[in-house]
Amino acid sequence: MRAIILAVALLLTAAPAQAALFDDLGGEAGIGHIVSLAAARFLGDPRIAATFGNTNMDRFQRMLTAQLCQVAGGPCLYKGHDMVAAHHGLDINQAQFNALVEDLQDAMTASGVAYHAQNRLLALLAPMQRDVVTR
Amino acid sequence: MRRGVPALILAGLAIIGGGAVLHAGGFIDVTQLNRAFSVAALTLHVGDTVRFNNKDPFNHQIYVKSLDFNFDSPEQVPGETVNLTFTKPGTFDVQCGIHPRMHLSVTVQ
Repeated sequence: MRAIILAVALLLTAAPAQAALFDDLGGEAGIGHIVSLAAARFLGDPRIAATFGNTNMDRFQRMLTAQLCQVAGGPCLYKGHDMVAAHHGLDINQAQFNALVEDLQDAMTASGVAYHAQNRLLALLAPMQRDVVTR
Repeated sequence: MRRGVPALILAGLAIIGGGAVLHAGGFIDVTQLNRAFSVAALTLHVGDTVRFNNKDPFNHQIYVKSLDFNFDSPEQVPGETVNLTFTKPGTFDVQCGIHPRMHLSVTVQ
């Protein structure tokens, strides 16, 4: 019974925390701006640019914006594939994953997102690593 | 069983130089796998239909944009087939709206 009460309490406190993250990222418009800056960095980063060579970047940005918005507790619904399907066949390695994270951090910094908010978003995204990195 | 062979030949498809010329009752199957079409080029007749079957675990989308003939499918989920009937002669570049390196050149006679 105690475990159930604790779980409910955690759920109730987690939702406002994520909603606050959504605000800290600048809401949907702010996240869209971050994604736009990040996408430009992905394409300009020789470590990972090739993995986006066969990607419709406009669609990619729409999907990533929705995904980050939802993850951050915003009022968005990500309708894309899970990370396993979305990255199928891309053979992404850990170094490429790290490069993408660096570019995303750089985009958040350029957007004026506070360091603690950056870390909260990255912590929420971190579990996806095991689905993205396949070699 | 042997009676089926001529029908298969008539319905079969001949691969020529990386492309394909066919007739299978006006239908030809093309798969989308590993972010690529299964053939690079096709030669068809007006009224023939290409059936695109998505064998990838993610979405594709089929479109043709030209002066004479246009087509724009909804997003095609894994396992889904999209039929594209060519109603005009010419050479058309079939593309995927999600994966810009996917091209299929279709010549319609």
